Amino acid sequence: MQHEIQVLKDNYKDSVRLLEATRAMLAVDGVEYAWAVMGTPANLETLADEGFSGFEDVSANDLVLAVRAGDPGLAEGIDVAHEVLFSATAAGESEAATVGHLGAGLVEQPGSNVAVISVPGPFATLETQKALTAGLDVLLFSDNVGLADEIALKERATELGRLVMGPGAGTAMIAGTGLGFANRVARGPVGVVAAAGTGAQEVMALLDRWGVGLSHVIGVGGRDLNADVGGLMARAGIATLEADPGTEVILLVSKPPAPEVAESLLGTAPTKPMVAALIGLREELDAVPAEIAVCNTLEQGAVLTLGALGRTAPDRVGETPEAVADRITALAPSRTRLVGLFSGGTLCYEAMTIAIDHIGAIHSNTPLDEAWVVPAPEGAHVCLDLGEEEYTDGRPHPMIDPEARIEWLERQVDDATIAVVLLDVVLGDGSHPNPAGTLAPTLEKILDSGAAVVAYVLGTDLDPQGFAGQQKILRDLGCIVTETAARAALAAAAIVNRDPALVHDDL
Amino acid sequence: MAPEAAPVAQLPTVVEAVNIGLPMFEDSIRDQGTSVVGVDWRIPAGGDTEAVAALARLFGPKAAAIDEANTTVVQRLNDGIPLLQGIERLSDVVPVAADRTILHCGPAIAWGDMCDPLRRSVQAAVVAEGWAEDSASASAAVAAGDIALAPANDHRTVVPMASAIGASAPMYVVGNELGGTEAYAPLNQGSGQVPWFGVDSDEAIERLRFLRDEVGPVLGEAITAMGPTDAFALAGQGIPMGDDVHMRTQATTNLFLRDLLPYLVRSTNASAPEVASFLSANHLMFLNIAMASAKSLVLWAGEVPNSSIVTTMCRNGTTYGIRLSGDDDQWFLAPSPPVQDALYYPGQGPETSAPDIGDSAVLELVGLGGPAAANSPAVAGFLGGRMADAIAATRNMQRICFGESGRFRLPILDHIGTPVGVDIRQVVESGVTPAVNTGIVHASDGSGQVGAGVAWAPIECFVDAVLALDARTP
Repeated sequence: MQHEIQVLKDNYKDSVRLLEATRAMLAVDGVEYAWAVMGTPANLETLADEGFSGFEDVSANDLVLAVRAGDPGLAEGIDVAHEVLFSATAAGESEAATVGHLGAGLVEQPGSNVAVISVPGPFATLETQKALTAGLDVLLFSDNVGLADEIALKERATELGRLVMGPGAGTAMIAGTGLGFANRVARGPVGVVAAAGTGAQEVMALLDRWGVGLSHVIGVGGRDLNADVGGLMARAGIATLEADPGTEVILLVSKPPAPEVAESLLGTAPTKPMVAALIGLREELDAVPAEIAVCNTLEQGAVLTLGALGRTAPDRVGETPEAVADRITALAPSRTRLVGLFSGGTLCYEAMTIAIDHIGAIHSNTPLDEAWVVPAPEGAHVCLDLGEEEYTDGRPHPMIDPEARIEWLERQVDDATIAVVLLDVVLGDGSHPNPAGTLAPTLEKILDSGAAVVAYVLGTDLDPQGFAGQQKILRDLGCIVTETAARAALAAAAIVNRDPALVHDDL
Repeated sequence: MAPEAAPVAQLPTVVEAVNIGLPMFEDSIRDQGTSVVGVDWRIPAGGDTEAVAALARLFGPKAAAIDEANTTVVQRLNDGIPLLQGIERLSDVVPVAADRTILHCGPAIAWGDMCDPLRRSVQAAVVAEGWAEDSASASAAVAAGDIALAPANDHRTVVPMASAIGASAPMYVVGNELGGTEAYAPLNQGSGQVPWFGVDSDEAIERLRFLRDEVGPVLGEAITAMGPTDAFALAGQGIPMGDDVHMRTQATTNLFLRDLLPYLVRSTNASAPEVASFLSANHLMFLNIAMASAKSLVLWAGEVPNSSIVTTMCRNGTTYGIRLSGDDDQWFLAPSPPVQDALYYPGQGPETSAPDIGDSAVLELVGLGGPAAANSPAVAGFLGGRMADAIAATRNMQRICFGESGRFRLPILDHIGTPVGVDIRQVVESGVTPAVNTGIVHASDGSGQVGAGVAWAPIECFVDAVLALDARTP
């Protein structure tokens, strides 16, 4: 094995591009280790631990291509990284009018009012502080921002009367503009505060498909309702929507908050009707006033929101029980397991909270019970959030790039214990341009091998990928495609239990 | 702060976004028909986590206080009017000089640590003062502590290149009445065998005597007769005529001598013709007036607390030093860098060059020199030949400066003001340090100037200053 590094001075590339290049390098025959990375002190230390050397003059904005390989792979590894970083995508970068830093951006566009920040976590706090100082609201997409920094940012935002949506907030929609991973929806009376990225997308998409528009969607990041952060931004978001003349109903989406946070957020009656969809909530909350309707699924959150507007949600069950029944008759008795392979973390979480009531323990990388870990024992049900770092493994998120999920789907093809493969297909800005079509060949193999496939397409008619077309691709393959994410979990449980009636569950 | 008191965020009715990070988010915002500007982001502060954390505070919760102070600093740098009053002996304006003290360029430095050209300059000054017979005995006297050394900057004085000055040196006196500050710089020594280029030959020492005994009296008399002159009004005219008023001061020098001419010809001093010949042959004559003027402004600006703007920047050939406004006692030091992108005289090169030296970088703090490079064909010729190179030098300063000049304007850039107020936060974040166009002197043989080039300030002293400012700002 030989170590080779190549340094390209002052050549910053964003994390998605670096991941693409890393993946391409790793795919070269003979390459044992590869990393395309910026030369920050921390990254250079990691490379040194891997046995690389020769970067004395490397600085943070130098691009470093590192390969450990046998003779044939070494040069080719570097070549393919160049191909990905410099040839393949050069066209995509040229159209944007760019500036060197935030201050220049404010000169270029003096009316700027929202910053979308997705720089690497260790540098995200600085950019967010600058944006707050400049009087902007912030969607902070970046992960790996320290808890103390998150609290400091949110406290400062609260003092300034600004919003810091994040860190780790994938989705927001302000005044009709989707930010981050967002579905295109009509404007309307519902304002959402969400501590769960794909949870926000699911309620946006359901409401839009059911004929109700959105005023704003305020993402707050997955930790906001933990005891440490104390719901700082959820509280600010709710207050903002209460004051917003375009908002009639407020929908809060989150995993169940810490008890003291639940009490402070939901303990007093809001000035507008409010629905709290606290995904997987199992106990009744104490002392929630009657003005707040509490439920524990995203579907119910959307249904209750329609109710608050005096409207009735359409049928969510449709033909699914019949399709499930059909599929059950064709299923070998040895096929007993549920395998869920998710791109959306909240959708994975919700599916597990729904299915365990019917099929028992589900093992996961994000388990509901700490005993239900992976690797799972033989015969166990499994749901994986493939967007977590341990599975992306140097590749872009599965919503952006289906590659990682295709690998996992391929592994299910010859497993004769699987009753049903459950998956989500998330559309909207940020997502892959044709996820269903890209997954289709592998799904077809799974269906041919004798397992059922239940899929949910999260999207709207306005999304660039086309909602109906994506659904049709999956239906034509023979997948069961449901109306909501919750119904997909129920349909999968119904197949495992050979009980089609389960799909009608009240939730 | 109680949550009840917090203002409620009001969301915009029309989004205008700035995207910092992944370009895909920018594309999707634009695709929705929403206005968006993309930031071509770079890793800040070289990825140094401690500096990044300090910057987050200095650009974040501490920004309001700092920006307010910086606004005052830039106002002072713009509003102060440096009036050239006349010429005085150094010991008359800096009394400590009478006490066998030599003022030198850059931060404080021990005799043993001084680079060769600065030592030679000190020796020349000591001999010219009559405190020693020759260079060798001057060296011995300084080494023995019989003659003291002090940074000019600590005495409201700035000196160019490897200058060292003694009690009898004739000094321009510049007063900034609005700010109540007064600053000094010696007369320019011209070219050839001169101490400010690290030469201590007899001819060089004779130049100091000529300046003291002939030039000083004639020029001082004419300046006094002319009356107080706004030096930066002249500099403001010199810039559209191609000066950056640091590396090139030819236009401003000519404007000044034009104004002075009626008073110079009235001189009854027998040396007047010789002095006039010397002045008309020295196109850098105005450099030192500009430096004293700049110093009179940074002295005033330097009184403002809590600012992140640099109000002292100087080098002694061994160390590079900066100080922040509001804290005159704390120097931030780094090794003086080599001068880069240099053009050398035949037979000379990096190996014969002393590191960056002199106090003239004070000009870069007030909007002259590098900030004014864009409009100077002479500077462009030096930086690579194209006006784009000169414009890039100004743009670099723009990236790291807090404000812009009200009086120095750049015709080539639609008359924008030159960048003013070097902000250490922006320096450390961007990694762009002030660039100073400067001469290069011989490292060891006392032969004087060997070339000219660009000296980039070392980032280390700015990082230290950022950490210190963070620590002392509430």
